[in-house]
Formats: sequence, C-alpha cells, structure tokens
Amino acid sequence: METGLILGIDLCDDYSQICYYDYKEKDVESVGLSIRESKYQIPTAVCKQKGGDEWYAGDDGVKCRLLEKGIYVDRLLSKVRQGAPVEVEELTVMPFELLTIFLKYLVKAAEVRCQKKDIQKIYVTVENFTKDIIDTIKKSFKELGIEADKVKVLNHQESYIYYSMSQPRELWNSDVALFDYTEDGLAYYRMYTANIKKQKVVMVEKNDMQEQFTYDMAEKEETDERLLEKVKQLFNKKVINTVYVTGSGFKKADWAKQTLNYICSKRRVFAGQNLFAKGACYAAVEDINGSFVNEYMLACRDRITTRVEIDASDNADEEGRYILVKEGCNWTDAEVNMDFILTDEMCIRLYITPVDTMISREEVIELEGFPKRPPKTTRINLRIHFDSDNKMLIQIRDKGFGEFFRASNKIVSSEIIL
Amino acid sequence: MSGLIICTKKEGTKPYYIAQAGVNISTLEELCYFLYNNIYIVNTEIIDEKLIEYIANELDEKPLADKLTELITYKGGLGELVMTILKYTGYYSKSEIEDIQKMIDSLNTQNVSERLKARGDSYLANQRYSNALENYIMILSQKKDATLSESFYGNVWHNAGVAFAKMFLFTKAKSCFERAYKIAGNPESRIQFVKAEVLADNRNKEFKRDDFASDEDREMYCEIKHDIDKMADKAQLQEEYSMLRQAELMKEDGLISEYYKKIEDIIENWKLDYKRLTQ
Repeated sequence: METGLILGIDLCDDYSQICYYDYKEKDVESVGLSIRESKYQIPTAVCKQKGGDEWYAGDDGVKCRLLEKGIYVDRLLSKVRQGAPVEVEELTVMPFELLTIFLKYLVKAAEVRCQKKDIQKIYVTVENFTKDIIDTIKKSFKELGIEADKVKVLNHQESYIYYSMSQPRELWNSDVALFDYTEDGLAYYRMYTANIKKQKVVMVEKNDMQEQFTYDMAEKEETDERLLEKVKQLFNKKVINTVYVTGSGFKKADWAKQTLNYICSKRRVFAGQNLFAKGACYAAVEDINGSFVNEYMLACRDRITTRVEIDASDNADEEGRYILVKEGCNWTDAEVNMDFILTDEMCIRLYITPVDTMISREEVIELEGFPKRPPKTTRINLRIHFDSDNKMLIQIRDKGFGEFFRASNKIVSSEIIL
Repeated sequence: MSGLIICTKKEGTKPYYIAQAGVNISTLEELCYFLYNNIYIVNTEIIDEKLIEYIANELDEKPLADKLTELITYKGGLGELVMTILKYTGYYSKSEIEDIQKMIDSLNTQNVSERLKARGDSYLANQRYSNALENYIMILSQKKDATLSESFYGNVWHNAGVAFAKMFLFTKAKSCFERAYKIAGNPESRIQFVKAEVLADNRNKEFKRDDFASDEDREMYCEIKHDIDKMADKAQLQEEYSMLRQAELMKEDGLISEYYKKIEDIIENWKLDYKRLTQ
C-alpha cells in the first residue's frame, strides 16, 4: 500500500542533505545532486542571476557564482536566525524567501528522483532549533503548497535517535556513540536506553568538545593523540558497541588512525555524512508506522520528560486523570486546546509528574475574576503550549454556558516550569 | 465529582432556537441543562424532528439522533426521550438523572392545575414572566379544584403578583398580592403587597395615620419605604448605571460616535431583556 513521498532534510548552514523513503527497498535513500565527490551534500546557498529574475540553488548556485553570472547568498540558516533582510542586487529579500527557493530546489530534486509529487511528510532536522526557525521553515513550505501538518522540525539529537533505532536491534542494545565533526568543532553524543519505573526511555548525553577540538585542528597528527585520550575517557566504564562517525572533519579519516583503531576494536563503526538526514526521514516513517516509538519514550533535548494531567472525565459519574501532555513528545508539538466544564471548584488542578522520579506535584491555578455560577454552568477553554522543553504556558478562558450564562471571556494566564 | 467534565461533544456553529422557551442552545450539554431545569415546560413539541436533525447534522451525534427517531417512531413517551438525551451526554450524574426521573414520574400523577403551576413556577424561575402568567391565569380562570388547598391558590396569586412586579406592573402586582393574602393569609404576601404599593408611583405620597389598618401596618410600610429609598440611593453603584454614566462621559469628551454606539448597545440589551421577560 504505497503512498506519498516521505522526505528527510538535514538543513545546515554550510551543506544540506535530502533523503527519501524507498517503498520497494523499505529503507531510506539519499538524493545525490552534487557532481562533487560528496554528491549528497548540497551547498545551502542560492544565487540570483545578475540583471535577471532567475534564482539558482545548491550546486547550480555555485556554478552561477563561479561563472560570475550571479549574486551568491550562502549560510541561509544563519540568515534565517538573524532575521534581517538581505540585499541582493537591487532587491531586498527576507531570509525566509531565500530559504523557500532553496527548499523548493531540494523538494523538486526528490520529486524527480522518485517520480512522485504527492508529499506525505517532510521532516527537517537542524542542529538546534527555536520557535522562530520552526515557523520560518513551515512558512517556506507553505509557500510551496505543503501544509504545516505534513512538516516537522527535529534537532540533531532526535534524528540521531531515530537513525540508530531504525537499525537492527543488536546495534543499539548497548550504548551508541556518535562523533560529529563539523565546522563548529567536534561534538560527542552517547545514546543509551534505561528502564525507569517500568517505562523504557532512550536518552542522549552530549559532550560538547567544540573548543577543545576546533575544525581547523582536524587532519593534524597531534589532534589524533589528544582525541584518542579523550575518547578513552569517554568510553571508560561504558558498554558501547556501535559508533557512528560523521561530519566533514572526518572526511579524510586517515588523520585519526589511532583514534579510529581504538574505536573499531570490538565495536561496529560506521562512517558517513547523511546520518541526520536519514534520521529525519526515519522519524517521518516511524510517525506513520510506529514500530519502536510506542515502546520507548524519547528523553533528549527539546523533548518533554514530564507528564501533565488533570482530573477530568467525559462522564459526570466517573473520576479519572486525563493526560494533557504526554512525556516524550517534542515541546513544539505539545499543544492543548480543549474545553471543559467546571463542576465544583473555581480552580484548575494540574498534576506534574517527571518521568525520572514519578513523584507528582500539584499546581493549582485559581480562576480569579471568573463569574460565580452554579455547578456545571461554566465552560472553559484550556490552552497549553510550550516555550521550551520545560516551560509551559497556560491560558484559561471563560466561555460561559450558552445563553444561560453569558461568557465573560475573562482570561487567566499562568506559567509553570516543569 | 471533583474533577472537570471534558467537552468531547461538538459545539454547533449555528445555534438551535427552542421557540417555546425563547432560548438558543449550541451544545448537547446546554440542551441537557435546558431539559433538566425546565422539565415542567418540556413537551414533545420541543423534542421534534427539527431538534433531532440539529443533533444529527450540526452536533454530529447521529447515534443519539437515530435513537430519538426510533423512540418517536415507536411512540416513546416524553420521559423516555428526555432520559435518552440525558444519559447519552454524560453531563448529569446517575443520581441527578434518577432525581429527574422521579420528577417526570410525579408529573404524570399530578392534576392539570398542579402541572400548570409547576410550569408557571419554572417559567418564573427562568424569568419568563409572560409565560408564567399565562399558566397562572389558566389555573385561576378555571373552576376551582376541590382537591387543591386554599394555600395552593394563594401561592398561585402570589406568584402571579411576583411576575407582574418583575415586569414593573406594580398596580396589578398589588392586586394579586392582596388576593393571595386574603385567600391564604401568608405574611409574605402582605409584605409584597406593601412593596408593590410603594413602587406603584406612591414613593412620594404622604400617608396619614388613618390610611393604615393598624400601627403594625404603618410600621411595616415605613420600614419597607425606607429600604426601597436606600436601594434607590445605591442605584448609582449598579452596573447598568455605570454603563449609562460611561456613555455620558463619552459625550462630554466629544466621543460622539462612541457615545451613540454605547447607547445603541444599552438599548439593544434592554430590548432583548424585555422581549425575553414578556415573550
């Protein structure tokens, strides 16, 4: 039962990548666009034809620049983060417009490769995201006719988890290490699973070594020695059976012979440049088919590791806890917009339970200024959204009860740190 | 129940107008509330095909609509229709539903006058004064039922007085309270009679000692007049007064279009209120 295109994009400031899900192979494949050796890496850049209206992206943009036929604009992600307009010839262009041109180029390439146009899901991974980045990416796709509900943005830690756990189980039964050496420096991630009070949890621990191992230190002999020492420390007393090595710093891996020899001893080591893009695509497939995500709770950066509940039921006779926010979801997806009817109390009680302790605490939000009415004649709208993975913003609005008790539209707001 | 009730049922984009009660509903919960609190005025004209169509199409509750259609087809009683709606929604608890079932059962055992009074009282409680009066007048215009007590008829007159008073018809209210007191001797009717007399353009009237049947009456009158005067003084603290004052300030500040808009809104609200009271 094949269906639409499922794409994963790793969007970085220097190079980006795109993958698609191959229904026949039942696996994720990369789209190679570049004529260079690293054909999967596409410069995150656009180029406007001089004196014309035509725009080029990726390697086409590079070619245009090399032929001195265009105005080249690269590092699009930084420009999106800064948000300032960009001057291109006589035009003033917003960063999201440049991003739209670039994403259009990527999506078109995938459509041509797969001979399909119907997009089912596009998951984009960036190293770190903010709400603004997510909004800009979704806005760009909307310009291309791809609705927001088909688009998701993940961070690299999440993509890494999805990539690892989409491999055969024996590769992630024990801890999994990842070395990512980019132009920002070297970062180390360790993925491990744990059972916390009967809940299986997968976690990622990051060790930022960007200052110790800057990009210009790569390919130097002395770096190999220092790195080896560091890796021994990191691996000490850990059971790590699988290691991934990625990033342009490892492109010519012969500089890191000693380190790699040590890593490869009794371990499976995989080197490649498309781990995050593939991870994003695997995440999209997982959200559709759900093989391991139902069994494991993800507890990495940008994931909420706390459950939020309320005493509520859809029946006046029953009492129960209703889950408003489930632990393990990405904070950008954790939105609640529901109506309730108050019974006896003029307050809302929320129960916050961190997954590591499972000890609940109660947070009471008084409905100050709400009109006093008989029981069950006040309908409220409860909206919850997050500002980060631990800051919950709540808004409660009085909707009255039809014509019987007019709405005051009074709003009570609250902020809770999980 | 200490928790909240989750609203899982759809909210209608358009309201449904229950003509017999002059009220709009937009959710199943509101319909349940209406049925529960107006059981004496609910009849099969209210739970009709139009309401069932609204439940099916606007509220998207086809299973409930189908059940109600089936009940009507097989001549199910009003009680069955009401109970089906209440049980389906989950808005009322089992014990609350049992209470309403008892009320429905008792309705079936009451005589015509008792049912009319119950309906009238229900309208009165819901500020439908015209409708309330219709029912009371029907009782009082029929031949007296020997099985019903003087106290029953006294209460009917008294409640009619309340309805008239709420519609600012104090002279008529005064007559009703007087009749109520004569029939049943309820002291409350006497007090309300005096209040209605004061409010029936008699606030500034000077009464002589001989105008009163007794010193007790005169004292009661003076006390009630004093209370009414105090309430009149506090009128400036009422929300309605402050809205009028806001309009006045807008005019003084030269905000003419805002002033007219405010006045329009106030009058519109008064019109709606009056329509509702006298429908």
